[in-house]
Amino acid sequence: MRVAVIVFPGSNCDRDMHHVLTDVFKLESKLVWHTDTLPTDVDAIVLPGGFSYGDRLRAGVIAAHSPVISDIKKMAEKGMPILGVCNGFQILVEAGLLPGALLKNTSLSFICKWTEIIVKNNKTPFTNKLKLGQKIPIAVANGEGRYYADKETLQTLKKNNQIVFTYADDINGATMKIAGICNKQGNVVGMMPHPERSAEQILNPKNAKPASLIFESLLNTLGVTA
Amino acid sequence: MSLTPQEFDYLAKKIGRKPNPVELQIVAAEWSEHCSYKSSKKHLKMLPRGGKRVISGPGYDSGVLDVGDGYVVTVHIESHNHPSAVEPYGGAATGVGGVIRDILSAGTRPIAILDGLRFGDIENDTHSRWLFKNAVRGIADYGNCLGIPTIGGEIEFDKCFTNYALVDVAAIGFGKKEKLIKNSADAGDFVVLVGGSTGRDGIGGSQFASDTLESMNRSAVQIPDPFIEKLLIEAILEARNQGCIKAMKDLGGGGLSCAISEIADALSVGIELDTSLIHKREQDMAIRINDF
Repeated sequence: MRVAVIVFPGSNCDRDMHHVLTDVFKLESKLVWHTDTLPTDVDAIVLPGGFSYGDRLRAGVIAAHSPVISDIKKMAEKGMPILGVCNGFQILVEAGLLPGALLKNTSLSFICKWTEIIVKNNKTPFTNKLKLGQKIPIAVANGEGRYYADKETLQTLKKNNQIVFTYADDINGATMKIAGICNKQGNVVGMMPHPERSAEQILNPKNAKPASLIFESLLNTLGVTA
Repeated sequence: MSLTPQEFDYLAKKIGRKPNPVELQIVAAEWSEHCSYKSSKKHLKMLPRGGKRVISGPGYDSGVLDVGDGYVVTVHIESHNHPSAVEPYGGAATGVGGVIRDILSAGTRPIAILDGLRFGDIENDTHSRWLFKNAVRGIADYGNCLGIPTIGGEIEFDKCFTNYALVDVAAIGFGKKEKLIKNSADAGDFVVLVGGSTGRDGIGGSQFASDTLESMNRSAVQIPDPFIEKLLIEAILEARNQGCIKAMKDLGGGGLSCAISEIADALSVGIELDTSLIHKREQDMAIRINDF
């Protein structure tokens, strides 16, 4: 197996992610329940979107204490490519694998729409096939998706080139319009928008190619020729 | 209790004695407008009900259509008006929860939600605006948490809906024909009650929903719990895949009394029920028989 898609109670984009990886990009992937140990033959990990534990207490905070998280932390240290999408991003932040916090959108409403993000770092395992400044038409759907970082954290993010994506327009009041970030090493990436909903032309009202490059970057990283 | 004196007399005559309090509650729920559609039935009968592709028509939890290639589409619609008129957020949210369970009962995965809504003049009437805002939020929050999109609907605003709301929720399901839950039972089978624990909320729901809306009885409205329902969807579909389910029935506003008696009737079996085994949210809850 190559990619593990982690399933928490309340995950609801797990099967979409599995479909895109397996059926669209022909990457061997498997759904892994959060209390199971991570299989040893994993080359990359994806934490999908959804409402783990019903967003109780705070989005992602309970899932961040799931048994599988300690395995994920070990793999993160070893440099394994790890992607968190939406609730997966929130979980990575709550688990301390990514800095900052995700707060309620300034509108205090759930936002569900098509938007555009801009590539700010194309050195990560999930962006290496994209160009700097490239625009990605992508779906966004969240209630607690406003990225927040204090001044100090923000400076570190900038210094280490940890800002991966920003929104083209200010859709939710995020600090510096941040849509996605990575850890200092660059192997752990979190993003609020949904690439798995945007990488097939039948689903994307604009151009699905840029979003599909997020997955092609992973193929590239894993040495799979598409 | 929502049973009319005429209905009471009819019941006593039919069974040849005075019904006991438990029987009274069950029949009152079953004969409520919410469960029996006694006043709307004649209008509903005017709608098309059969067809070449209809596997299961009216009378079951959801309608099942054969769409070819071994696949089926299930459809179900329900109103949740009274609850939404007194507690719009919880009323509308549990309306979504209710229709989705009917889709699930057929053994299909719920994939989309639609709704038909009616409110008063939201531009000038603050109460209508409050109902509107919270009902919409209830539908959205519940669907989002389950990961089931609300793909459409229709809405009207008119003064005649002042102090009230019509909230109709429809859900669509999809699955394989071979995996449909067929609804059969044999002596010795177990009945398993799954889902949220039974609390004081929602008790007597169907009768409340059928009475004239005179009191703002918020305690008759269930508290929404989409997270439990999401777990339930996955657990039930997994159990379906493993062939563990012979029959399934959703608990609607009529609660356990209706679900158990309806499924016993449909499957031609008797069901023995020990109410002390029901998982409850609070201690010291007893079956409520006197205070309707």
